[in-house]
Amino acid sequence: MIKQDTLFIPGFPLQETMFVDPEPNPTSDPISDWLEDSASYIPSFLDDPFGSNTIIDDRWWLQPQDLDQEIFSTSVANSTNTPTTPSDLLVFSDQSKQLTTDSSKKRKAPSTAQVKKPVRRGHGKSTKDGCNSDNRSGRWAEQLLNPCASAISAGNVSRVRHLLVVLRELASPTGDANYRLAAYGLQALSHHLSATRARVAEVVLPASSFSTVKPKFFQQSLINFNDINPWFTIPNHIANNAILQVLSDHDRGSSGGLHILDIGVSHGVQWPTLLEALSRLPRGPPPLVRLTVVTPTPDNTQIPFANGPPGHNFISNILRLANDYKINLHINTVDSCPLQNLNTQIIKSSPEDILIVCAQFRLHNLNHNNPDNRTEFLKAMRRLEPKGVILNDNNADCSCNSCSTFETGFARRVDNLWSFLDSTSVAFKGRDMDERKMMEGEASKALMSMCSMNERKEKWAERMIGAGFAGDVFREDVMEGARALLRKYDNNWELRVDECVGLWWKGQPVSFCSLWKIDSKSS
Amino acid sequence: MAMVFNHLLDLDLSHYSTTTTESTTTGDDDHYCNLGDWSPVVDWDALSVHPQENFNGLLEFEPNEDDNDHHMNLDSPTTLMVEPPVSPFSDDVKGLRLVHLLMAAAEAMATDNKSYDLAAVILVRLKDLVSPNEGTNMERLAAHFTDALLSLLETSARGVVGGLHYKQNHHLHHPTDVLAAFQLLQDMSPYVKFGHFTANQAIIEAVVHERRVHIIDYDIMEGIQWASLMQALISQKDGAPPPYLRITALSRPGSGRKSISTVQETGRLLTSFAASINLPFSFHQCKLDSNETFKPSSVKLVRGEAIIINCMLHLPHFTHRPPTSISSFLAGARALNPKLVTVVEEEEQKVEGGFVGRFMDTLHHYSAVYDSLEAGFPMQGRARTLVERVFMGPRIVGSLARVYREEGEGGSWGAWLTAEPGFQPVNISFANHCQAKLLLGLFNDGYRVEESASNKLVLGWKSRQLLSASIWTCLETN
Repeated sequence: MIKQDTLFIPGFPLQETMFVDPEPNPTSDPISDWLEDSASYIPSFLDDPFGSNTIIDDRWWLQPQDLDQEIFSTSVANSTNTPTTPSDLLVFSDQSKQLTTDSSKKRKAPSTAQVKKPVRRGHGKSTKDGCNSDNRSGRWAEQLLNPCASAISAGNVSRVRHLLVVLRELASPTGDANYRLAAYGLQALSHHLSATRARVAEVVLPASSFSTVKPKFFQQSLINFNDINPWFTIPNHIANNAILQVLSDHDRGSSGGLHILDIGVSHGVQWPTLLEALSRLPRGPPPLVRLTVVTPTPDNTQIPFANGPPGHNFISNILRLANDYKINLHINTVDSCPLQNLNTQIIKSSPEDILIVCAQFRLHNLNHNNPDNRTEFLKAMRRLEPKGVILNDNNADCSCNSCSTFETGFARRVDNLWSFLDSTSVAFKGRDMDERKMMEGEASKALMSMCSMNERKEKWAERMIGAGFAGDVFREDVMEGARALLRKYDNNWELRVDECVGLWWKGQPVSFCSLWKIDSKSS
Repeated sequence: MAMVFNHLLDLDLSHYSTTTTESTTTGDDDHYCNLGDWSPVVDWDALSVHPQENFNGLLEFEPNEDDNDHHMNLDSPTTLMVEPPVSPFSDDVKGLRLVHLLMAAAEAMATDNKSYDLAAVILVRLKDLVSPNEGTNMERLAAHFTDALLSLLETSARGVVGGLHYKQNHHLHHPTDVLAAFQLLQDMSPYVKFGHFTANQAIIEAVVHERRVHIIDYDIMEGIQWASLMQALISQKDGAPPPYLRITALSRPGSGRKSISTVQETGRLLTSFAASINLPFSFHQCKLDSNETFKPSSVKLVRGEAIIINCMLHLPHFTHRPPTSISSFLAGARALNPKLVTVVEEEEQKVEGGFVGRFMDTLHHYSAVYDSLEAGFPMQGRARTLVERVFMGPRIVGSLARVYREEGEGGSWGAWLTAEPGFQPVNISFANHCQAKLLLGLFNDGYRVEESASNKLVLGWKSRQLLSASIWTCLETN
């Protein structure tokens, strides 16, 4: 059994690693290189020194000026279990109306924070968010958007007009999540109405999204977002640890390497932590690590979070990092192959490698009806004979044309977007910033097009089994690490574990993480 | 035949122009008033809530009924938004937006799973857009309706919607404000006089040979109705001596503060007025208890007098009386065998669509009232605002609260009397009808009077019926 410490980054890294010198020093600090200085940061959450023997991803994105305190606090403590002050264990509850005015002093116990115990799984439902016990009644945007969609379906022109006028009066791109949802929903409905059957619906892009910003801003914003909202952080964390888990389960041949097929939306943010962990493996990293990144095909610009800004290239940074970790990393990009057409040739896989497929938040875009690209894709994956498949995606009912009417589909997508906007509002403490606009604009793409079709995790499981996979289980330490990481975020988040791992926000499912292996009984 | 309205010529209306077809615009006051081509901001027929919620024609757009699926042939999303049909005034657009918002707020409060949060958000937005003292008619009206809905919201949603710090500040007005507003209301509109003159004319005609007349007045208020009746009784042409007039006014405990004057004061004024014109007169009070049950036996009767029952209900400056009080009065009055019963009340339509439907109808009603005041006196914005604030605002609040709690089915007292045994309708005389027309002629030609039944005159503004006066008798032979 692999010991915890060897598999995961221990909780004391800073004394030994590159952060010895708090001054930004380009040559000795690859992580700081990765991170470029930004003045407008919302500083990351305080670490949770309690029980953190697992990867705590957000350490990697600490600002240089925060490092002083971090070093001081951990060097004083002999173990990671002693907080320096009670205020270290701050968890910020939903205080979206109370804005702290001084973001850079966040570590010094702002008055809005409350001291809370870490939330255990299952007790995550918070009643401290000021909403009614019936969460839905506070979601007024949907009480206008969904009836409008229904009226559109029913052809009730005057009712549609009425609701659009009201939405237009209320919608606002600033304001709380409801106002924003109203704004995005209004845009989506208007766009829907302006499309006629004769012509293909024009692609409508939100004002601010990944593709409208500069690469540097994009990277910093994404990193910062992951610091304050676990929407991607937790799935990335679980995926990385699952990769390590699968790797440890399989005997490495003498020349065998690790080959990761990256079908995701992390834009490189996911990999530094994994590289670091690989470098710490007791037997050292695999002799060869290959990363094949599959980007969306050029005509596919509407998948939320999938397309980075033009000119953004994380590959060179990752390669540099790997070099510092002395990992033999090769990165390959596949950018014009539809997912269902992937094969061993295109991804250049070799049978000696341990191939792991990491599919995050991309598969929901695959059609499953006429053509059934979803099944095609899974079969293609099966043919690759991977040692493990990590499937993380939205946990929502399908909103494609065959699974739902326009109004049901719209309502489902609005529901999903609500979770994103609400959790992001909480994460940004109600403050309006360009970073937030970018993330929300990107998320709103799900409303504008039929791209995000989604599927419940149970259905995905059925498909996987049908394609010749069998469910695998995340190890308990993977789960523990994820739980520990989640504690740093708002207590409205929870992890629910059954046959896979679900991430929930305010009692509603957001996404799921699942691990699969080849069913030995299948060919 | 004595015409009551002779005295009208004595009233000093000279400082108000009677022709208002031209209006000039000023900075402060409303400029939106072209009577010749007065197009309503809102097409009220379209807005009345029918079961299918048919808003056709609300906006200038051809509804494409063939599009049953979700693709509607619209060039761009902006054509769905409100664009003014003819008028370039942005006020129209804003007025329409306000109506949509009000309707949505009413809907949010009316649905079974009350969406208080949505209602609150809409009302907050409305409060930002409107003020009861400034802007167009629609804006000021919307401000009062917004306040009314906010007070409803606060009482219904207490504890659920937090942070609604809404103060009700309109129930207590300075007495001079109230008096000023009343005088303005009288001068600027026929609402008060229509009821008084129609009732008085019917009374004059009914008591032409009587030597003793006893009027029992349900709600005497400031008593101005009787001043003109007394004058008419004195001026009867055939030289006969005037009858001996007694007035018994119902009074309620503790109502003095709200009304313009107390019943005693009114009595004193009328007594001294009668003395000044040499009319034999006496004044009495009939005190009601707190649940306002009327006991006919508590009225002192004199043999040989003709009993007149006068029931002015819910005129703009009146307090709202509970239906039980009114029915108790009318039913009790029948026992007195009155020669004439006059009833003046607000005309209410029977409306479908639950709370939202009745809400929109109430909005339509007061919109007509506001428009009628503005049409007559476009320059007197501040005066109208005062009247609106003192009288209309509280009425709107009360009206909506009753609608919300579903008190009363919106039936009229005229209908009640028709159904009630013992009351016969009395025809409105030709003279009475003419007098009403003459009265309206002094104001604006948007006012209409029509005989909706043989015993009923209805005053309306444009197409909206506002006030009705009906007369009845309980005697078997007229």
